[in-house]
Amino acid sequence: MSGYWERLDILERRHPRWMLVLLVVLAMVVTLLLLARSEGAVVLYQTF
Amino acid sequence: MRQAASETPNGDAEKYETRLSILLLIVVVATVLLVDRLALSEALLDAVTRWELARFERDETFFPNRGNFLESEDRLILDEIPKADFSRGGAYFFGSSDLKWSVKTWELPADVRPFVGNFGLGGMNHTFELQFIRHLVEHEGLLQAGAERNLVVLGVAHTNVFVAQEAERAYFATLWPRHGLYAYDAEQGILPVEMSPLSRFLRVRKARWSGFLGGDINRVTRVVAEKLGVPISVESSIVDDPEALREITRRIHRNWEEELPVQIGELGRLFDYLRRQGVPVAVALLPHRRSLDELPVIHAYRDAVTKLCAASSIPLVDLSHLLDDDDFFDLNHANARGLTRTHEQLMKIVMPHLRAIGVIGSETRSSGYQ
Repeated sequence: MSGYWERLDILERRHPRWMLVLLVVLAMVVTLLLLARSEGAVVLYQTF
Repeated sequence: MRQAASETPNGDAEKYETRLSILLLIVVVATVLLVDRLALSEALLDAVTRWELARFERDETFFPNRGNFLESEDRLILDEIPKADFSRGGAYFFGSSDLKWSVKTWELPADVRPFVGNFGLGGMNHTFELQFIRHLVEHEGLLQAGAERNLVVLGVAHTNVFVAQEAERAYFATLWPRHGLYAYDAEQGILPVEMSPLSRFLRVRKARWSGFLGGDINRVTRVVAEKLGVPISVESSIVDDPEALREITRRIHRNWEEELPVQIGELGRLFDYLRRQGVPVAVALLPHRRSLDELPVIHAYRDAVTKLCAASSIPLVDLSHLLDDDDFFDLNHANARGLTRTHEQLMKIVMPHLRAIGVIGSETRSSGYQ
């Protein structure tokens, strides 16, 4: 696992702006997923 | 000391992390505000509705009339009913999904629309209908104008003949608690949950956000599925095979001989409840495919409803053969052509009442309503 973190660290140092953009996009996606969550059975096509 | 620390590499890192945290917080808040704005946007809703109606007219899909919500039931419960003005009376349709997609409320003239409610919900039997109407009367003020100023039109069909074996798992039962605003009990029906106005506001808002996002994901998924030729339901892929449609109906109604007397009994209880309230009632037998005519449940239900209406002195309009088989989009929901015909006939039932209570004038006749 530490190898992956090191590579991520190197990537962050090489492309700090792209990493920031990625972080912002991830924050947006997670927020959208949380907002899209709904409770209960949903029937999107009803026979009757 | 703090100032000195911030000038060290660690201090720079702290500053960066603080800024990053603030940035992420701004992103989260901005995303919520953007979704909120889009979910409440009338202009976006109008554009999506026009697009969906155009597809419906071309027979590419059905028109679910769900607005910026995941399902039309959410739109009804969270938006239309809370905003409805029951203070002057009106005419209200009740039924299952076949009724829900039988009235074009979106085409009603502006002076008629406030007085007509299409309160059809998917998967309804007469037990659930009674619970729904009781909820509207007892918690939403449906009859606040005086019972006699309202007309309840029950759109009924063989589709109402089923007894939920586990009532708590039926669609109707799971619909109400979905957003935490109501609870449901098989005996007591719909129970509003006590909460502060702020909690209610936030729950409704959350429902709008999830409905908007989920609804649009669903719209996109449906279009993609159609483009790829993937059928959206079993029924929609076999609409030209009458025997297959009969087989599906037989399977759905496999216990109809036990369920029919139960549901006719429940319809009788519903009539009794409305009579005690003093509400005028009319019943419309909704269209079914002629290819289902040979099924015993179709005749048995029609005969039982006809007898019950006659015994209860409730006017019955038989629209069961109003449509041809090619006026249906799937097993039992009308396509655009069929919907135009059901809408005309159902509006003929309610227009005299709306004129009689004085909420619309005779000039509405020129809008195409008799």
